[in-house]
Order: sequence, then C-alpha cells, then structure tokens
Amino acid sequence: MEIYRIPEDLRFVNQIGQTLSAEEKIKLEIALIKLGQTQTFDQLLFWGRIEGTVANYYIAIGLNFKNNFEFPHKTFFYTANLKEFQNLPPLNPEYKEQVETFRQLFSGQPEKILINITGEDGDQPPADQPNPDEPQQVVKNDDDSDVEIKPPPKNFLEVDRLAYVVNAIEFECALLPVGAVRLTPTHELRYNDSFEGLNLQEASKISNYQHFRAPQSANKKALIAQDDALFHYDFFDQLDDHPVGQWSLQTDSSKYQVTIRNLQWPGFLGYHRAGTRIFGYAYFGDGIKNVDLAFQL
Amino acid sequence: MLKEKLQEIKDSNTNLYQHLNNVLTKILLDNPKNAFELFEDYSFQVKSSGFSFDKYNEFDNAERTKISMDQAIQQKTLKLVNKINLGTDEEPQEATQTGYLPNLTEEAYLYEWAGIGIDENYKIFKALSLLSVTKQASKLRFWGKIMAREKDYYIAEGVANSQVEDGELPPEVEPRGSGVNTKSYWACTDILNDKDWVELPLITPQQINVSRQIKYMFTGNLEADVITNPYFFGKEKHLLKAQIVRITQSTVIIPKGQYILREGEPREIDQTPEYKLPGFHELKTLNDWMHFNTNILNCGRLVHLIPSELPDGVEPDIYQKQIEAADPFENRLKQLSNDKLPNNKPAWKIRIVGDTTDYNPLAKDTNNKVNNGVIIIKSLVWPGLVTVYSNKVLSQLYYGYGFKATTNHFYPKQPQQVQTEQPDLPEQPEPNFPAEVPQQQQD
Repeated sequence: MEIYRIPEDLRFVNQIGQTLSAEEKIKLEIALIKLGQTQTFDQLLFWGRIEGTVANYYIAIGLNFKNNFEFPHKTFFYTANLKEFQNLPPLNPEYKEQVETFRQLFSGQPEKILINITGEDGDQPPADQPNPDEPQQVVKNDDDSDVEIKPPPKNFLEVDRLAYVVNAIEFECALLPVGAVRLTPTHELRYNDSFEGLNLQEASKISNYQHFRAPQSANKKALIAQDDALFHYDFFDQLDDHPVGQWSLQTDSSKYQVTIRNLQWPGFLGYHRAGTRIFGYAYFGDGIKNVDLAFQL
Repeated sequence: MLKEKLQEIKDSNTNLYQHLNNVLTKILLDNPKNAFELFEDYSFQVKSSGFSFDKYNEFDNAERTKISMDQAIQQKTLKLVNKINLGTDEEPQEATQTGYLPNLTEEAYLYEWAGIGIDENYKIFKALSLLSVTKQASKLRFWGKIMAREKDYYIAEGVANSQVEDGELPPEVEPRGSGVNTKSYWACTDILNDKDWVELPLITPQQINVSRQIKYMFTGNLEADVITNPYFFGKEKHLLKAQIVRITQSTVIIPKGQYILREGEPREIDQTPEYKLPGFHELKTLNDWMHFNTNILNCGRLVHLIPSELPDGVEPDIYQKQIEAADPFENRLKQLSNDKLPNNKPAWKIRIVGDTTDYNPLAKDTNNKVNNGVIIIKSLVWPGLVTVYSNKVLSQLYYGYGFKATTNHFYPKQPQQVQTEQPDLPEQPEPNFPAEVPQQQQD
C-alpha cells in the first residue's frame, strides 16, 4: 500500500481483522521515509507485516519501473524493530524444499539459526537468545594454479526463511485490477493514468483482477511480447491458479470495498474501492502457508 | 487549405483534423511532463474513449462522480445505525432494555493496539443490540469473525431466551444450558440484515470428536453439507458451532485469583469474594493468568455420561471412577505458563504495548496509579484468538478461519476400502429325492 495512504487503506485490512496500532503506524512511517531517502525507487510501498512470537517483521517493497523490460524490478526490505529497513538477502535455491516444510511460527529474530550447517554451535541455541555470529570458513583449494575461495558455508537463518516466504507470497499472490497498469511503447510498465477504477459490477468479479508478476502462462507471455500490447490491459496472468478455489472475493456491507483474499496464504489480501483509483495489496499474517487447502475444499 | 485536407481523412465518427484537435487539447489539459513519450498513448486513448474537446467537462466523467450506493443497502445501513425501532415508521416502538452488551467501539480501540482491526465495528455493535432485543438474548457479546470462502461469519455469544424448546434429545447430548451447549451462538453473514442471525444448533459429542479429526474451510453457507472423511454428520452450522465451542472452552482466560476452586468439589469454581481486578503490573506475565473453562473430554462432552444401566455387580461410585480414570478431567483453573504446543514451545504469546507509564489518578489517592498499558495475549494453539486487558477492561475476540494450529501436514484419513462382493456361487439344481416311501413295518 502507498505510504501516505496507510491509515486509510488499513480499513480494507480490517476485513480480515488486522490493523497497525498507533505506535506501529508512527514508527513505520518514519522508517519508510528514511528508507526512501537513502535509496531511490520509482515507488516505495509498504508490503505487510509478518507476526512472530517475539517480534514482528515489517516488509517494504521498492519498485523500479524505468529501464526494466516488461516488468518492474522488485526489491524487498525488512525490519524487526521498526528502526531501520535492511535489504532482504537474496534467495538461495538450495534450501527451497526444506523451507517449505517449516511449519512453526517466525520468532522475530532475524539472526536465528534454522538450519545449522557449520556445526560449530552444536545444538541449536534456545529461541530467546540471540545467536553468536557464525564462524567464517574459507576453503582453499590446494591446487597451485587457482586458489579458489569457496564462499563459507552459511547457516540458514530466519531472515533467509523470511526472504523465501516474502518472495513466495509476492509471486503467488500480488495482484492488481485489470486496467491499472499498461505498457509503454518501449514495453516498460507504467501505471495507467486514465484508470478510473472498476465499477461496482466489475469489481465483484475475480476475472477483472490479474497477477502482478511477469506472466507465466504461455498465452500471456505471447500477448505481452506483441507490439500492440500497449493497447491491451490484461497481459498478466489471470487469478486462476491451482488449487482452484484458493481465491475468495468479498466485500464489506456497503459492497464498495472489495477484498480478494488468498486462502493458501491466509493473511494476504488485495483490495480495491470500486469507482476509485484506490487499489493495492498487503500481507498481514504469520507467514505460514496453508498447504492443507487442497483437502479443505 | 490544410484544414480541409485533414478533414478529408475520415473515419466513421470523426476526421483527422478533429482527432488532432482533441489529442492536443487533452495534452494541454493534462499537462504531463513527458508528453513526448506519451503522445501515441494519448492518441489511442482519445480514440478509444471518444474524447472531444468541445464537449469536454472533466467533472462529467464516469464513476468517480457518480457515487451511488444501492438503495436497499442505504436504507438498511441507516436503519441499523439509528435508534432501534421495532415497529414501523408510522408507529415507532422503542426497544425496552436489552441485556448486557459490552461496548464494541470502545473495545475496538484496545484491539487496535493488539493489531486487530474490527471492520465496521459500530455497525456490528448495533446489529448485536438489535439481536439482543429481537431474540431476547442476554449477556451478549461479539465473539468474533470466522472467515470463510464466500462470506464471512460474524459470531455472537450469549445466553438464549429460556423459553426455547428443543424437544427430545438423545441421552449423550448435553442439553441446552449445560456442558458444551452452555452458551448459545448466533451466526450471520450480512450484518445489515437483522433477520440473518441464525442460532447455531446444539451439538453432540460425536460431532465434537469428528471435528477434532478434520480440517474444513467454511464456505459461508450454514446449510452446506460437510463432505469429509471421517464423515461429519451434520451441516456446516454444526461444524461451526463445534469449532466455536472448542475454541471457547480452551482459550477463555481470566486473571489469576479471580475464581477459586470450591472446597470439596474441585471441579467447580466460585468467584473469589472481595476480588478487585488487578492493575497493569500484576498481570504482565503468563503466570498471572489462568484458564476459566473446563476442557472438553475425549468423549466430546464436558462431564462424563454415566449410563443409567450399570453392568452387573458394579457399584455406581466405582463405575463412575472407572469412567473418569479412562478419560481423565484436566485440572480447573490451570495456569497459562504450563500450556505447551506439541513441539514444547509455549502455547501463548504475551505482549505489552502502549503507554506504560504510571499516572497519578485524579483523586489524591496515590495507591491506585493509572496505567494505560495494554496487555495482549494471543493463543498459538488457536491462532486468531486475542485477549486484551487495559485499565480494568478485559475482553476477548477471535478473528480467523477456525483452524487449530498444526505442525504436521493434514492428511485426511482414507476411506476404508470397499471390498468387492463375493462372487455368487454357481447355482446347482436342488437335489430332489423322491418322496420318502414309508417303510412297511416288517412283521
């Protein structure tokens, strides 16, 4: 959600029962402004909050539209103490399967070791103590020709799991109304200035919303590559992923405020106020995927 | 000359001259910084939207100015928010006193500190007060919201009007007002419609036990069939009530010392005489809180069922003890600090937020300092359950999907194999002996 509109947009998040407290709002705004001053992005958005047992993570996302072909570049930031945002570490594909088996809550301590590789510390330290820095090990190759310095084997920390979860949610869930963005003649993405919002009937149909990610399905990839793509608005993937039924579109009692929730990631919602340019998405949850959804439908 | 030339290049609606006029006017009106890059865009948009500069009126267009709301929704919202009127508009009939209903709007402020936002809290509050009047329910409160696939359920908890008849109940079902059916719950998906509040039915122990084994995402339709294995005998409203009861029985908490065990009957509790709700500093840790309700037993009831027909040769007392030993009670008034999740982590999360400075009160009584700190206790077993305490106000709410936290993946039990029928044996003709000839008696 836009930074200057956080208090108003939170009423959409209220539909799933979440909000930011007064203290959180104040600190978050300051931290976001600080982040926006140190790094320049085309747009800086507040992505959401992941609740942990000891502390919460607050995530921000920076979007760069210019000079990026077809899809803006997304950079993620996190903070656990709302003082300063830090970059989320890059994804390490080695641990992908293991991460998906983690079902326990986040703790809120970014340095917590989840998979112990170095073995130096022996048993996992208890959850409420910060961990010592992992030792650096430089493995040198004994060959005379090259001295390869392999990167030291690092422990898998909670902040790495956070990176996985945030990227997974963003990939699977981020959404927009159709018509909110368009392509320029140079195939860069921009917000559509003439987007007036979906009207009341359109806003209640899930087919009028699309994913906010580089298109994955074959027909959308073809569509976006065409030269006349700038005349179309629906060049992103539709919200028809498997398992079907994972999206739930609901409104409040006035029918104007539409939220689209994802049942695989309970806590994610995309929102739109019909008839206006207000739209966005956010995640307010515990960061655990509901993998049992297939059995629940 | 040029003008005529351009006007000759025509389309069905307009000509090139007109079109260029419109495009340039729009660019002038919008005054974008990068008009050069957007030039083709403007041309396309003018064509598709039919913009025409002489008919242009920027306040005229589209949905932005036509802020409209469905008439019915307007009326219902106003009716909800106005004073309760049980009669018609011509003969207003005021509501008599309703039962106790905590002020949701004030509590919503506390919940905001916990990060829980109650959407439309004033509307919910009014809907509840209307429910209290129409159904004569007392001790009503907003229990929470259970999210579902198509529509969410708003749940109210209270004590129903005592004149409701239930008819014959099977012996193992705990009757209304006792056991798991002590409190009544109402569910509604549309708070603007006061007829929508449906009282959830009484539930049986079998339903509780099956609900412990399944994980079901509610759809939003109370009469939907619940197709699961093991099969849940009942509709969605039964399962909803079962989940609500399970959540309530295991998560209602009170400050330590507010209730004490009754002497001689350790299963009963009484309010501590002369008890005052403690201030902020006495409730800051998990040790200061305890469970209020009893746990549901393995058999799905709160109290064991002693069958009226005892097996032979067994004394009633001994039989009762046998049943209780097989399915033991948990202690009442357990402390929260002892609750643990399956992986031995604590089952509760306690946080302190807000302004925790001690203020001197208005009166010159320096013993009772005022502290506006908010204590938040969240359940990790039933994620979504929140208890807040601040300044002598204690309140509890559930906002979730109705699932218990699980660390393992949920695999529904496979239904038992349906065995193939035995093939029929080939039929043989029946041996038909000739009729017996009575043997002649031999002399």
